[in-house]
Amino acid sequence: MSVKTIRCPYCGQSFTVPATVSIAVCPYCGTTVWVQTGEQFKEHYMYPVKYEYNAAYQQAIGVALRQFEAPERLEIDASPSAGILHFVPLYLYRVRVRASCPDNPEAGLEEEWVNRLATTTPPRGLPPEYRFPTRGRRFFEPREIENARYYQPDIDPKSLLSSVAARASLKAMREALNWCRDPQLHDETVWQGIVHYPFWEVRYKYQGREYYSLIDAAAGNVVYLEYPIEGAKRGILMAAAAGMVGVAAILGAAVGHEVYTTMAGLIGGALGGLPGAAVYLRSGVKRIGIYRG
Amino acid sequence: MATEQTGIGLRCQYCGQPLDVTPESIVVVCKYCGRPNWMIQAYTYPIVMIPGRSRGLDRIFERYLERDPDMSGIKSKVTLKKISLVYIPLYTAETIAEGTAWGDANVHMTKVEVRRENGRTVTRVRHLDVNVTVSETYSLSHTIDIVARRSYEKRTVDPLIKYYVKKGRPYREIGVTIDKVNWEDVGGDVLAAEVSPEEASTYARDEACDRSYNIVKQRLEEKAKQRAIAQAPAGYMPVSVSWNILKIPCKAQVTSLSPIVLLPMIEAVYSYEGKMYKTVFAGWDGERVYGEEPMLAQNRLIAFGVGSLLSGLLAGGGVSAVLLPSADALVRALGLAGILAGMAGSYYLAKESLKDVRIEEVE
Repeated sequence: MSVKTIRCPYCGQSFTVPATVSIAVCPYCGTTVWVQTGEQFKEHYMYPVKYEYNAAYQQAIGVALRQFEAPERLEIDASPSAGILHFVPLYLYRVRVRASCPDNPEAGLEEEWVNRLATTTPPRGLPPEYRFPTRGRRFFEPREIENARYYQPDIDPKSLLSSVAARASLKAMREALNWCRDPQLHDETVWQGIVHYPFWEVRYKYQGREYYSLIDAAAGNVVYLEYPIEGAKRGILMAAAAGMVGVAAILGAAVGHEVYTTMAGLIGGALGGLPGAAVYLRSGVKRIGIYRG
Repeated sequence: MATEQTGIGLRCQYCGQPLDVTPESIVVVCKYCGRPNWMIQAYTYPIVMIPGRSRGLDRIFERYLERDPDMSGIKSKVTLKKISLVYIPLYTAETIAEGTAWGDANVHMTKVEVRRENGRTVTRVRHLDVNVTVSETYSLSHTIDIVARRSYEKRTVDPLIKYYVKKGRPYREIGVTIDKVNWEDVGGDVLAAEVSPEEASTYARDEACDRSYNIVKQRLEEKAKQRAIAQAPAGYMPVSVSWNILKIPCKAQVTSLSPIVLLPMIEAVYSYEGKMYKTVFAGWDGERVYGEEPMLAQNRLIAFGVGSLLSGLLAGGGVSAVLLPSADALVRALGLAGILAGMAGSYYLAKESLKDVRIEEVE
């Protein structure tokens, strides 16, 4: 794959990008430029980092402690091991779709703002359909931050235009079909720019093992979290699995005794308790739990 | 230029303090003096604030700990980490949605016949499809609330709005126009309005038609069923309606749009045994509208106990009913339903018992 070397107009560092992209993001300070001309890309926004590293770490531990299987001593014995601030690029679209009929040019009209991930390699744990809660984007300010990673978008923004407008198009057409048989669809969706959204990668150590988490650095919520499952809690979960089947079987036997036979009720009760037991066993056999926010 | 690009350097035209401006802001209420700064100079629109309390927020949280039956038992282990007052900008639109809807449907009907043959009760179900055409001219009023933000934290703001609606949207009774408030008493962080009155009206009209669609469709289905009963032989009852053609055209208008109402929201973050939780209160009366509460041992035990009880009784009874020699089809079907309900009950309640948090919201 051929690459192009760019010199950042803000921090002066040189970096390479694939020759196929039209916009380049400096991985050191986040400044975004047009590859062809080297000029700064103006429609560039960001969401401010409202949760600094310590707050993000506290969030991760706070949510980990809430999990039943996690050890109580996590708060005292866990220690932070790494923190990286990921600035993930999103494309911002102004969706405007109009379905027209001969006697009603706006028989169906949908307008909305949509964000889409602009990279095929987001940080681990960020789901593709992540809803970005926010209190307002800002114009981008380049900052050279240690341990920050600015992602280069590797998706062509125009390639997402039709999928971004798909939901709105369907809705507009459905509304217009109430007016005429063959509505015409006008897709006036435009790409508005790039937004860099911050996420903290917080790693922590507990009893010699490292665990990974991803925290939304603008809104503070935990997106993805790995946590240790304590041995004693695994034992409780196994006991709960056996307990659920056992208690349900005994109660089932009592009902069965009245209705038909004790054995039928016993088998039925045990059957009823099995899905619950499976829920407990699923956690009880693992050593690492995963929380998805 | 840095100033143009970043928005920093935009200052309140009244007190000179820095303004928190985003590219979509229409009006930014200065958090220092409370005066509205309109981003387009020639354009203003009334702003009404429902005053919240900027001081004594800790007391609101303490009162919640004292009064809440789940929290009062653990309040000695609860530490308030952060509490703040935020104002959410909101429009309310009164709308009317009108149109003439019509449809052509197949109504599926059934008739249950019970006879005695050779000393045994025999049940037979007969089926019939009836084609009907129905229409309805409708005019529906809807009151629609629109948050004046491109996106917002729905999890916490939606319950606040639900409570505000439950209290009758009291902006006329307790709201104060923005230039008459005493900012020292009520000031807080005001989220900038990013949706203009025109955009709010467009959204409201669209939403009015969406809400009308489901109401009118249901009415047409009822009409279709009634027409089918009238056309079918005696004893047939409608079971389902499937539409060949369904047209529900809609034109909506906004009959009135409220001022931008600044709705106060108090957000508290607290910890319990190192775990973090969030609670949201209505800023004008301190009522809790959204609360994350700890899962205590007793909550988990209750879920486990109820799960075991339900699954044992339902599935135990279910298997017995299915295997009972004298059972007919109905009893066996009920038995099967009992087995499935018992299995679903144990699965759902086991998951409940392992949850990391209980969420309580305004009803």
